[in-house]
This record gives sequence, C-alpha cells and structure tokens, in this order.
Amino acid sequence: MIEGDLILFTVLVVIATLALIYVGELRPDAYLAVAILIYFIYTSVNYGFRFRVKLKVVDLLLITTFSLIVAYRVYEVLK
Amino acid sequence: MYFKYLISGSLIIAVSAVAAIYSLITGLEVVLGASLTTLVLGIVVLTTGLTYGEPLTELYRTYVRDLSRLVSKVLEDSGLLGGSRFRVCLNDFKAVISTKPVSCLETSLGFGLVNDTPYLALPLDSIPRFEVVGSDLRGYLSEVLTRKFRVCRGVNVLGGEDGYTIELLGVGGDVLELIKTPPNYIKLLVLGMSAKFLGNDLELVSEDLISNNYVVKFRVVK
Repeated sequence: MIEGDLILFTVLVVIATLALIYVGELRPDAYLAVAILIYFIYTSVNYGFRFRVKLKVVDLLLITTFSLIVAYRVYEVLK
Repeated sequence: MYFKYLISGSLIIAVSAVAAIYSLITGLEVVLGASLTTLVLGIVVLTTGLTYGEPLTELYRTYVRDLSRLVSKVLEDSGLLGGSRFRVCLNDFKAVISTKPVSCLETSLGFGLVNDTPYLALPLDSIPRFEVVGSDLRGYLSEVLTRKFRVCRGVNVLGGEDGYTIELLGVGGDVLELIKTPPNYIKLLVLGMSAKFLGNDLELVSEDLISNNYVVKFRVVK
C-alpha cells in the first residue's frame, strides 16, 4: 500500500523534473518549487498517505522553502 | 520505524547531495534543479521510514490490553490463572481453561462449572480460516504464522501422532507482549490452527518462552 504511494509520488516527481529539463528550465528554484507543489497536491489528494505518515515537519519545512522561493521571485520582479 | 524506507531515503538524499555538489563544481544548473527535486523525494521517503504506522495499530493495542486485563481478572478470580488445564475443543471451536479435566461436550462458551470444576471457554472461531497449505503441520503453520501474520521468523514442529512440540523462532516485540499477557492469543492461535489441521481436540502440556523463541507442547486428545 505505502510502496504504491511512494512509487506514484516518485513517478510524478520524475515526470515533472523531466518536463522541466525538456522545456530547458535552468533555475534550480523552479525545480524545487514544482517538486514541493507536487508533494502538497499529492498528499492532499491521496489522504491515506498523510494518514499513515506523520508529515507535519516536512510540511513546515517545504512550505517555508516554497514561501522563500516565492518571496525571492516577487522581490526580483519588484526590484 | 521501517528500515527499508529509512535506508532508501538516506541513499536518495546522499545521491542528491553528491549531484548538488557536482553541479556547483561544474556550474550545471539543470543538475542542481534535478538534485533539489531528488532531495524532496528523499526527505519524503526518509520521513516515511521514520514515522510510518498503520492508523488503527495503536487503537487495537489499547483494545487488546484492556480486554486482556478483563480476561486476566476473570481467570484470577476463578482460580484458573496458573496450574490450570488448557484444552482446544473442535465442537463450538473453543479453548477451555479449567482447574481439572472437563469434557468438551459439557462446556459451553463463557464462564461455567462442570461437577464443581470452574472453567472458562473462549471462542476461537474468530481465528481466520486458511486453506491448508502443504501436507504437514509445519508447512501450514509456517505459511500462516511466518508469511501471513509475521508472528515469528520460523516454525519448527517436532513429534507426531499423539504429541507435538511447536517452536516459534524469533518472535517479535509486540508478539512477545501478547504471549506474556493472559489469555495469550498466540497460544490460542497456534493450538486453534493445529487442532483444525489435525482434526482433533488438543490439550496443552507445557509452554515456554526461551529468549525470543516460544515453545508449545500439546497432546492430541482422541
């Protein structure tokens, strides 16, 4: 059960990474932001995974990272 | 804690770190991006290894503990705790605990008296039905206890005909707790399954817990 969840998450992350490489994306923060988005979407849709694994610390870590990336990008635009 | 996810997660994080260092040295930003997504994956796998747990496990553990306390109290009050006879009866499929030998046919589920001998009969029909795998008792018990329930790492069966000794080798942590707590569900499970396989009533002769090995001796009642 959990193996399937992890494999699906891995497949999604790999597809997103390959897609970003394919379109020629070079910014590392874009890769990270997309991976974080996939994580939150996946764990929201597949709630069983969140039910079995305690993800609070990971949530906090990733949402903070995501916020910093967005803040940095907004700052870059406004500068 | 699940070590396979713990190790997998650690390896993924290590690979991601190596890729990140490589990209910083060579200036390949694409590799840095890919290494960061791998890092997210590694963190998720590592967290799974550290915190994964089936949601109802804790609830069941509490339930079993409370139920065991109740059964222990009943056994204690009726003088059936320690030095009592333990028998598995195929009619009604039950385990009968009594101070003296009692006939299976005279007992019914629950607490009762037969010729002034108190007994407690516990139902065993909740033990799941399994198709008989293999032609011997060892194969059958191994299949269910080791592969399906993961109660122990291996099963040995000695003896035959009238008496058997069953050794459960490498019993795990939670299972040890079950063995130590009356009415000892593992004993009920082993004897219940053996009785079903052999098609006879069984009587417990002795039981021993030696380190991580649980040894049950019983005789066939014909």
